[in-house]
Amino acid sequence: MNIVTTKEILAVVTLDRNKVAGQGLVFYAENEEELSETALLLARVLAAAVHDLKNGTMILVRH
Amino acid sequence: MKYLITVIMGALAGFFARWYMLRRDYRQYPSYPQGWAIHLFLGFIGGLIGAVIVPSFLEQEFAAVSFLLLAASQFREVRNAERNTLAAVESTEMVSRGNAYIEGIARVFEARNYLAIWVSLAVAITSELLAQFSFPVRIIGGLLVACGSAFVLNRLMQGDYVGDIAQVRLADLSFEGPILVVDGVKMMNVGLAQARQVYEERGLAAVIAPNGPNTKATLANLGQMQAIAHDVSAMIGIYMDVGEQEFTPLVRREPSTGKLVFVMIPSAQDPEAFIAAIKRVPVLEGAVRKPLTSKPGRMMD
Repeated sequence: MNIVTTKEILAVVTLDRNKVAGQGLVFYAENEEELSETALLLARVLAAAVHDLKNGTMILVRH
Repeated sequence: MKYLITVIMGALAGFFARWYMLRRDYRQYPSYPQGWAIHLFLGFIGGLIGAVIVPSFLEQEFAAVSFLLLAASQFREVRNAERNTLAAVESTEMVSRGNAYIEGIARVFEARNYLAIWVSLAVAITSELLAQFSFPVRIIGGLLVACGSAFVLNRLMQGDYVGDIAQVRLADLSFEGPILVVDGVKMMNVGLAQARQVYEERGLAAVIAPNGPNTKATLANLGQMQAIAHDVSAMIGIYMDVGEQEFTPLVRREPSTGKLVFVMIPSAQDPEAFIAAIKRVPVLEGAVRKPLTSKPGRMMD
């Protein structure tokens, strides 16, 4: 039996350190390009969807 | 043997009725050939039960009749078997069927065995009623009753399609920042610019507007929404790989009008095929609601 968690933030990729706090994986990116690149790479590894919070932060959630 | 013709005719009628009701369409379910072998054999057993009931009744063997009825009730197991099979392969589906659809399919398979029993029973009764006539007359009579009853029963069991209960039309998709918007309905947050580009280049969207309050309630069923996503994907193919969740076909409901909005990335851009596929999705029996048959429902309308 393969159990996967859904509807949970698996990782956060952000440009701004001040926007993210708390538990969980956070990846910091230098610029927009690195932000989306990191998010894409993580999405493929985690089989998750990338959602843009519009403040320079992207979250990865598996649905 | 006195009842040989009746039993053979009834059993064959049940078998062929089951065959007639088996469909091999885009769903490939029951699977061919193993799934077919299972259901044809069950149809044959059902036919035999229906056929043997008549002679045992005429011979006043009521114990036999009771046993046959008990045997007929074993067809309930068919539903369990179908449900288990479909639930077991559900995780291998790129776009899942959903529990409501699985339940609907399982119910249909159980019901069709009972229909086969009805047909064979009708043929067996006909054959016995025509017992004083010659052999060809009995065969022809049985054949007519078998064809007629199988056709009528199958016809009665046919449900609606989405195209019968709603207006389906193409819609434009666009992005408001990362939000995918179709016909004014916000569908989902697509974070990656590459994914948004794929949607803009290859995505297709449609609006499914219900014809009335009854169909509005039917389309609001989550199982029905999932069935639309699954069946359309099965018919026209999807453009996605395992783990690419942003490309999963999506059905959303607009609360104010009850219309459904469906967006997907098909394997090839063909809007006509897309619309035709949506119209061809069956309305799930378990999703049908008729609020207008109640007084409060009519007051709301």
